[in-house]
Amino acid sequence: MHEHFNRLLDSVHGERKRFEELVREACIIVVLLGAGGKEIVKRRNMARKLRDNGIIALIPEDDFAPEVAPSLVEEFIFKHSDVDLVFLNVESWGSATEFAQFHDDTRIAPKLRILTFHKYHLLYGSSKSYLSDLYLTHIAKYGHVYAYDDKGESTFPTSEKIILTLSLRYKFLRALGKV
Amino acid sequence: MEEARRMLTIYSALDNDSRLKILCTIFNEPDIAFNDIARKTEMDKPALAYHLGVLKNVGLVEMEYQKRSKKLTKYRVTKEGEEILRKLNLVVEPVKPS
Repeated sequence: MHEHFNRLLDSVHGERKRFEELVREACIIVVLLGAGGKEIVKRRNMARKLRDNGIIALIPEDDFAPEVAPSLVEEFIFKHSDVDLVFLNVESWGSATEFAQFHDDTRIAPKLRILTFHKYHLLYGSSKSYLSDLYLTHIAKYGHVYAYDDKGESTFPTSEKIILTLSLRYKFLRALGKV
Repeated sequence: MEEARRMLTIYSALDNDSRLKILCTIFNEPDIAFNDIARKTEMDKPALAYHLGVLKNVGLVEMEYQKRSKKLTKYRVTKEGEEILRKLNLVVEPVKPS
């Protein structure tokens, strides 16, 4: 039985390699975290665009089984799974809590890409809040806190542009075997 | 090119022994409940939730809520998932966890 399963796994691996050579690309897995409610529509649109570019884009509320609460499952998943990047758009108290929970975990932080509205980014905005200060700590230690503007008030890129640009480059680096 | 890219996404998702085991388990027992998959694969529930999410995301399995509950789900392999398994020459027999 195990022999049969291992043969099956080898076949899958062979097919993966064959398609990687054919399209000269690699596939990566990203997770999109952010606020619920109306904001989830934005993440769904983003996930669709990433999928169109050959990237597996997961939204916990849509993709993870409801038998396990997302807040309980996320930390375990990010530490132990084959997820490549986790984009966290800090746009609600819930997502701010997620940031506080994950930001200094050395197993999660390297995968974490934080997005914040430009006014709350300590380097560009004027906010003096505890959360903005935490961004600075994260930038100093790990980097990867990105200021965005989805309202068209400034020259900062949109959250969508940041996520797509970083994901595509990471996918490219994966294909080259550099990550 | 688009089709080849899609196949790459599917085989990348499947190139993982946990996910392949889960897919085989669901294939052998359509409409199996989440908790039963966890029991049969002997997998932790958070890990199972993640791997099922990946399989669902690439269109290999579909999820349905069990009657009268939004907290209990059951899973089946999609037509595309069945085609992939046939291409791989899967023999229909239960796969035990390693």
